[in-house]
Amino acid sequence: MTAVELEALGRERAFALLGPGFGDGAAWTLVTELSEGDGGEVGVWLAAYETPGRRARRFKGRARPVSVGTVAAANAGAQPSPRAPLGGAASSEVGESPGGATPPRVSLDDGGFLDGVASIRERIAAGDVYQVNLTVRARVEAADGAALLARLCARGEPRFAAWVRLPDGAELVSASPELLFEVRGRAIRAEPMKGTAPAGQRAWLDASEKDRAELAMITDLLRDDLNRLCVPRSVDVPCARRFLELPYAVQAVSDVTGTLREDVSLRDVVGQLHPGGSVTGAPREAACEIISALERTPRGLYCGTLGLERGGDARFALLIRTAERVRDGAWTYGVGSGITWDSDARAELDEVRLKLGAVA
Amino acid sequence: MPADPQVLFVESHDSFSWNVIDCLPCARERVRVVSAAEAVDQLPRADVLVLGPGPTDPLRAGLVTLVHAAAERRVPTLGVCLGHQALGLAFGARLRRSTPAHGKVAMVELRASRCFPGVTGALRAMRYHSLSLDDVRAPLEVVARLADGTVMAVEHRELPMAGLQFHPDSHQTPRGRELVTAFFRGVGFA
Repeated sequence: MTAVELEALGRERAFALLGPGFGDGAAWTLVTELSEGDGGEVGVWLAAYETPGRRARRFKGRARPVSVGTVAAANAGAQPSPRAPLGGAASSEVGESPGGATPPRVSLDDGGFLDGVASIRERIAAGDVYQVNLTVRARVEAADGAALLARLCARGEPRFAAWVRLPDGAELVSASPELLFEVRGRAIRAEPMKGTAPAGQRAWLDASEKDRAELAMITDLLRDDLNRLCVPRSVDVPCARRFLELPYAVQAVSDVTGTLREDVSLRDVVGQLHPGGSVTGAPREAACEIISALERTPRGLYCGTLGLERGGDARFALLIRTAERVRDGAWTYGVGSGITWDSDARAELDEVRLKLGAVA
Repeated sequence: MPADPQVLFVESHDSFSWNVIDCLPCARERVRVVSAAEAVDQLPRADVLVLGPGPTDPLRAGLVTLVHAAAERRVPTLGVCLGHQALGLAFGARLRRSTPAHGKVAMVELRASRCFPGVTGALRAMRYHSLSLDDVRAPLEVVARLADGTVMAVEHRELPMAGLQFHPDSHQTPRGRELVTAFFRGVGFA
């Protein structure tokens, strides 16, 4: 077990926290607000970005509510170093100490990223695609999942925290702010997220036409996803744009709701909504092709989804602000940015660097 | 003509197709969703053809010959975005690159038309396009433009065929459903 003791605190914000300390090796233990603490069985769903949603893996877990507040408190000293160049020192290793000046190694360097933005804008001008989410992955060093999760939580509790160790040895930690969808009975709600600003900069985000357009586009994409699954004319957008004030940022989301048809299963829902439109772009099929051509490594669990299911209700988080352990014990952490015709390549690069600051 | 028409919907690899389908004033069971390649064989059984939106351009998407086939059979046809551009190319307009506008709302000025009876004036409309029709000529007529002149809707002078460059299916086109319903009424389906 790791050094960090996880305690049962308020259920208000905790989503899922899956830790090796609670498991017996083969099965894992799940901790989630979906339970009232009686330890009943819940289903746990997981799909990597490249895994079709229909082939998402389903596990069983035991439910128990917790908070990650203690993880954050134990590591409150961590300070991000936001504007380091991407892959500026390809041979360097990142030290254990948070906030070290050495930049992390990344899958695309500055030049590769800027070329990617230029290429996407040309494809947009030609009519081939409307928006593409371009991401990079940085290699980061961490003692274990707890240390990395603590770094991700250093600036406050995430909406959806998770720490997962799979029977096959794969491991992820996530401090995601994004809900992919939730189901209560036959009611489904998606909450696409597009647009990020530093904490306190809500007015700037509100005024950003580029961010407004991106969210409108992904909102229509999610409506389309739900229209394929829902009772005709039941899909609605009760709120086209609202702001989530997070400890480290402000983010814009919309609400898309609908009533699932009787013949639609949870697997059908995952099959349609994953990978989430906000991490692909639109149209999804063209955006995914461009992503696989431009990004030089697979996204893996980053941009995938982790969901919990109990008694017909389910809630799935989109795995952004997520790190995955790779074979040699190091971790990769992904960050990305939505590229549209209005994108300024340098500004997108700055946004990606800023997001990398969460683990740098 | 039947009151509840059989609709043939051409899906072109888009993420907004089912929004358009949900926007149609008919039961879902009456909508047959096919690819452009499958559509020609299905035309004889269609009362209305709807050419959905999508990426690339109408030639690469294989839609222009389909428009010619529909015109020959006089099948009422509504084109949305890519489908609208297909109508233009099939009847002699040019397609050019314009300033890409994706997820952007604009005010569209719609004049009185045969295909959209009862809907005129300024309309809030969501746009998702990089290409625009130019040099629209007979037998097509422009029925809506942006303030800068960009073509936003066309209709055929004689045949029951019309195209919308913007997305009537978007959550940010408030009168979109009304407009599509007007098309069905305009081509003879109450």
